[in-house]
Amino acid sequence: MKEEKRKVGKRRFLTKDQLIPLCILIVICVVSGIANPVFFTWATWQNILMQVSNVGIIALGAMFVVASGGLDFTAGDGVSLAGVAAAFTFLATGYNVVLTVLAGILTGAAMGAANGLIITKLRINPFVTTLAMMTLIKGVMLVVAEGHIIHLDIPESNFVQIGRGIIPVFGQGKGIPVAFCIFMLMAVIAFILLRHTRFGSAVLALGGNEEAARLNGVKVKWYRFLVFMVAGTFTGIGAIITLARVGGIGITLGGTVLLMDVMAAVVIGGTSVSGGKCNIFGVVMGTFVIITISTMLTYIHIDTNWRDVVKGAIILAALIIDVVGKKFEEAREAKTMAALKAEHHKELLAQLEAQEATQA
Amino acid sequence: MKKALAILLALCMMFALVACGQQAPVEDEQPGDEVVQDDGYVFGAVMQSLSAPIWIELMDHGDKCAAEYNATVDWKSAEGSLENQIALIEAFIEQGVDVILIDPIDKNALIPVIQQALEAGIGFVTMGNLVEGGISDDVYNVCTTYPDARDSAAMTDLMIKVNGPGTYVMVNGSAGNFVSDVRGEAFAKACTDAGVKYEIQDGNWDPTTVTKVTEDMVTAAGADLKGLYNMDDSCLGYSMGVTMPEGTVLAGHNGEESVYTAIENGDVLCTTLIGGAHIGYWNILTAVKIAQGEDVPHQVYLKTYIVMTEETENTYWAGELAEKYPSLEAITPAEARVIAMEPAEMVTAEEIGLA
Repeated sequence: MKEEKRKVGKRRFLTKDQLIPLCILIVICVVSGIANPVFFTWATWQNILMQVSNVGIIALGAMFVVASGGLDFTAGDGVSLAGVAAAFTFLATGYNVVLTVLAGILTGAAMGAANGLIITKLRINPFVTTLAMMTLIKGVMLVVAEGHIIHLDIPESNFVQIGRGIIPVFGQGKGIPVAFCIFMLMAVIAFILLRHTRFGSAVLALGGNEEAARLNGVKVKWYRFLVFMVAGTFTGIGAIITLARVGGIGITLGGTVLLMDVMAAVVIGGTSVSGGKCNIFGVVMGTFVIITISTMLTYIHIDTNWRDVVKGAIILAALIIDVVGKKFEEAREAKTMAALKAEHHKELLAQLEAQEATQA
Repeated sequence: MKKALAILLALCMMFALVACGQQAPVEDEQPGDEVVQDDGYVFGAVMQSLSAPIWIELMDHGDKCAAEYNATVDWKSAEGSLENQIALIEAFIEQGVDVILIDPIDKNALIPVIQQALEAGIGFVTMGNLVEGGISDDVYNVCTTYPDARDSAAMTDLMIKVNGPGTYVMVNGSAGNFVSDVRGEAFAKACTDAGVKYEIQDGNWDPTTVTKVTEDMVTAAGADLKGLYNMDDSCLGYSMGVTMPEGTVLAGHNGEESVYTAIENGDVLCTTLIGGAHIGYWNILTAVKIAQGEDVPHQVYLKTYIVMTEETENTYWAGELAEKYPSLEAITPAEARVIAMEPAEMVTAEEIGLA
């Protein structure tokens, strides 16, 4: 019994989906560190902690969508939308940080809710809906922002400290980035949502088998709507951190580069693309992998354009592992079922034989 | 509650859609929808995208020039897609405009469609890029280019003169883009010639990528970092948000108001005046000359300036560097603001010492 408990504990702490990104990350760190010892300095890791924060938060939101069997293309351009809304609020309210943050988060939530409503009420595929929404956002941004860049790094406000601020832990200028603390807080919130609420169970049930979830009394439409709204909210928070780190906004903020990073972090993190499976630790590690890849390329003096090649290869590998793993699991389940069936047959035969013997 | 939320969001979406429709952005129109052909010339312009301030300035001042010469410009955006750019050019050819101007996405892939336009008797301007799309010695596209190789080298030399040996980093545009390639090569050559270490990474004009590559290069160089050159002023602001070792000098390129102010404040060492307003006027003026039948050479250059404070000019530029780059005039940010709004001068390779 004790041994069984220990086994269950081990499985929960480091599953295959969590180990893979962790191992990739260790390999990247070792290679980078050998090539350039500066990689192991705190300054480098302070940067990495800062850089993972916005991508990680958006990836956590996108993870819920993918785990529910959906897809969200607005994760990238939603950052521009929420960012522009926040930037306009910043200027309109005389640099009020609280209202700026609220405007960004609410815009992200509204965008997610709009996605959710279209998908559930009009029954349009999430792929098509979010793709159309992405195009719509791009168009609206062009009209509203007219290609202008709004700078928020101004002496009158400390808004940029959300993205650039450091909590001094190891002395002057050395510490934990504020953005990373927000990321960790969001990871805890995502964990609670996933493991300790009905919402989390519903997300996994929807991704596993929507029809079975419906038959089990899960309010499919409501939870699908909620999933997109939660993802939008995470995008809004990610947008605020991106905006504060970059210190300005134009319509090119976010977009496909960020979308690719987010989706890669989700997939590398072990979230099943067909839904029903995800884990917070994996997504956090997946985000670290994506960010450290380009850091590594800079440190070993390789053109960063190679990052797309490396990222693409890693995503592809993660997808293959997901599909092959699923097939392997199915085969193992089929084998177990067949064994159970055979055992059941044997039992039935034995019972029949026993009955016959009794009758005789 | 849910119904109320649904109605509210539906209204928001409708409002956004109506707003888009009312604004009628130029990039969504199809060529041929509105051809103004009273008595003046009609030009068709296909931009790569309209997502940076420089393009907006370019269009505004291009329109100003067109109005002065009784011409109309139909501006389109290819949204970064080569297919879109080719389709828009083909539509302009069918429409029979007088001159087509493009900001080429790919200098080789566009040659056939440029030749198609030239065969149809339509003048062709490739803005800011050298594209060999002519069909004979007399029928060719006009390439409006900047002396980037000279300007990037001059700014790199200036940074090195100010801060001496160490590591110099550059945030470039994207590989394959003519301007990025020229500026990157010039920076690398200047660093090699001066015997300093250097690193170049592409920012792809994406704010998050620019910030990230800047952070990575700055951290990797550590205390040895002496200077950072961003190939575009609109992205230099993102690089400036990164904490750098004290005394690191910064240089930009293209000429933007925010960078002029930063030069005056001592945050940026120098930039090159190209300017959206400047090139907008200049390109349309080139199209006017072609439409009027003037003999415009295959490649023309924009007269550019290196912008720095008077103190920098007197201390570091005057003498050795001014002699090394005699055709490159040093001006102050205040002078740059004035020149940027004046019609740009067209110069030949000989005049800027490139021949």
